[in-house]
Amino acid sequence: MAITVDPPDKSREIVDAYDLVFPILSDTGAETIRAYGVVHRDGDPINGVDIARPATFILDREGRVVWSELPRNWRVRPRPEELLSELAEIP
Amino acid sequence: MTAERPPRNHALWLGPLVAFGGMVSYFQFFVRFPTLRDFPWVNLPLVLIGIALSLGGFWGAYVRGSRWPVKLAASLGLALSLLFGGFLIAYVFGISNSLPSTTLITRSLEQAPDFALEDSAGRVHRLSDYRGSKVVLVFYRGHW
Repeated sequence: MAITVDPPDKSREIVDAYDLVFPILSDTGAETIRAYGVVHRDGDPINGVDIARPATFILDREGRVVWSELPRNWRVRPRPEELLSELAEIP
Repeated sequence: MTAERPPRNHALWLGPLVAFGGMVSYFQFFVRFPTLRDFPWVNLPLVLIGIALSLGGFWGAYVRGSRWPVKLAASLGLALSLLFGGFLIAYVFGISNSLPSTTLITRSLEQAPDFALEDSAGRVHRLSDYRGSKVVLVFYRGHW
C-alpha cells in the first residue's frame, strides 16, 4: 500500500496512469504520516504544507515492522528486487 | 570579390541547447531509469558539455574580436548554459538532499500504528484488516 497527502482524486490519476494494482491511501491531514515519524514539515513549499518524506516499511503478518528504509535523497528509492527479497524472508 | 568571412561560431547556440536538453531530459526521461536517476550519468556530462561549448563560444567571440552582437550572444549563451546546468546540479546534489533526518518515532517503531485511510476509489483501508498478510507500506511525497 502507498500513503501520500494527495487527495483521492489526485491518486486516482496515478492509479489509472500506471494501472496500479495496489491502493494509494490519502492521508491529507498527515496524521498517519506523523504516527510513523515520517513527516517532512513544509515539504510542499508551494502550499506550505506538511507532507511525507519518502519511506518504505515492511510489516510481518502480525503487523510488526521488520524492515524499513528512509532514503537521504528523495531521488533515491529502494529497488523492487530489494523489497521482494526482504519479503521472501518473512515466513 | 567577397570578403573573407570568419568561421561561424556554432558553439554560441549549441552550448545552451545541449545544456537545456541535458537538464530537461533528466526530469522528462532519464528519471525512469533507476541507475540514471540515482546518479545523472547521462545528464551531468550533457550539461557539462553544454557549459564547455558555451565557454568555447564565449572565448571565441572575445579572442577573435567578433562584432558586438556576437559577443552579446556568446555572453547570453554562457549565462543560459550556466543557469540550466547549475539548476540540474543544484537539484541533484543539493535540493533533493534536503530531507529531515530520521526520527526517534520511526526508529523505535515495533508494532506498526493502525490507520483507517481512504483509497483513490473512496474505499477505507484499515491496517488491522491486513493481519495475516505481509504488508509493504510506501510513504511518498505526492504530486500536490
